[in-house]
Amino acid sequence: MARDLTPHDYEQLSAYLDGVLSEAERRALEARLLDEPDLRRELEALRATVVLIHGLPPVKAPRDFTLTAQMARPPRLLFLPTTAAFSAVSAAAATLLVALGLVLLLSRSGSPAAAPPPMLDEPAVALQMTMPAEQETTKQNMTATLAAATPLAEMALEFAEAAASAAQDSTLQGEDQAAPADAMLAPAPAGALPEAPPPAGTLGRVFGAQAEEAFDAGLTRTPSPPAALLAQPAALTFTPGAASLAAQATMTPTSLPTATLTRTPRPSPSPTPQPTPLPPPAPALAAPDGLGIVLLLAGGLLLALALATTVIRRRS
Amino acid sequence: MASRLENEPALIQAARRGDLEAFNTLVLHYQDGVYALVYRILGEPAAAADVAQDAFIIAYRHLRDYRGGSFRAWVFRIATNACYDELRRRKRRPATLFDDLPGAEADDGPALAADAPTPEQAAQQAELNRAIERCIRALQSDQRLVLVLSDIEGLNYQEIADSTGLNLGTVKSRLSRARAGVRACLQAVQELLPSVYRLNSERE
Repeated sequence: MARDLTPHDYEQLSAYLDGVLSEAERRALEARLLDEPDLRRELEALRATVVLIHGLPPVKAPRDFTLTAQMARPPRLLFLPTTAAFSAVSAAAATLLVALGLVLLLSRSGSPAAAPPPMLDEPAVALQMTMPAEQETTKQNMTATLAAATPLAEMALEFAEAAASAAQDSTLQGEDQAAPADAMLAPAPAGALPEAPPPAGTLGRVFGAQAEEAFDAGLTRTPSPPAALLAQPAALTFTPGAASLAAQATMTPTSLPTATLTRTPRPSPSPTPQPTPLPPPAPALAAPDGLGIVLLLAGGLLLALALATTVIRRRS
Repeated sequence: MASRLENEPALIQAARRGDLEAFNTLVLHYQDGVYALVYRILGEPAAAADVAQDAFIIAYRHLRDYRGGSFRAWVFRIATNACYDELRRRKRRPATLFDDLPGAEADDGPALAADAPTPEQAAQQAELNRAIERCIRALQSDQRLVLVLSDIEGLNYQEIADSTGLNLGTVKSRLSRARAGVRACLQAVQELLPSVYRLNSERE
């Protein structure tokens, strides 16, 4: 290759071969070509190169790429932005809402049996809101919600695992898109009840699915200072969930020993699950905190959105 | 490839209304071009077939976004983006870098044109083609893309700009750098090449 040719010269030659030089440029280049054998030779080499490339044997499609009706079926919820960012943001927002709702409910409804620890007040909320790693927050609250929803967190987790795949399947089936949202709506207020096993299963399914997502991503919990701090007040009610989650996800809870001591499980009001959302032994919710419940509901909806978009994205 | 579908606008309209058969007519018309593009960019037949199929599915679902102009450039743009997604995926989870793959043409490459005159000539031509393909694969992916669109697919500058989202100036400079790159690379196998290369190298 001639050493005295500049990139600009090559650009001119290349464009000249394609006939896209302006009239003035073309005339200028042709004048130079008369005087400069190097330029002329390079033009011919480039021309030969293009001819050679163009002469490559044509590649044929190895099969037909026609679409089957199955392929052509539009993905559901196409109107939703199914980017990872959207899912992440809604999941984060949902987490915040649920966390706030839970904190509100738990702190306002402090009964002698389950008095909220002092740390679980505004500072804790602030801490949670400013936590840098949103995955940490998510997992923390998954744990929180699972355990808060039922003392039998292990059971809930089993529910969750089974139901998570079921939920995904049903979403994949693509029947009615309202179903997941309904499932979230129903348990949300009841989920705050420490003694409400059946809804806990439903809520657990939702959070369980989320948990699988997180684990799929290969996240392992590395306790950061804020998370560890948060775990202490949280552990009052959260221990069972944390323990069972840890078994599945190689989490290493930092502050569980002390937490276990402080936990006082409350007996169920009756051996069978109460359909009524306000069981007498739960004075906490005799006067339900409207704001907390609203926050939980909104959080649940957002989480459904995040899950739905994630599932859709995975499919496409 | 260069031939036009006479009733293409009508087919597109029908496909937009959900006529899958109309869309599949378009697929059959463009699939060789799309596959060739994807194959030349990715350098691997199996992945290329998957990506080409995905590109047509995406195209069908986004037909309403097509705003006239060259349908081929529009489909190529979707295929190009699908290629970039695939390359990004590979970068994230590097299994085999396409640049390091041995010449794919040895076992699973494109079939050669069948009118080979003599075995010797055919062998020499095949060797030359392998050299050209190697040189194309050695380019940076952004240069390779423009080169493939121009000199293999036959798109003009405006269509390349439409397909890549690049402006015309960038198309022009990338194409020239890609051609100069292939030209320099081919000098290494000058004995295979037309005399213009050999003459040139004797002088230097």
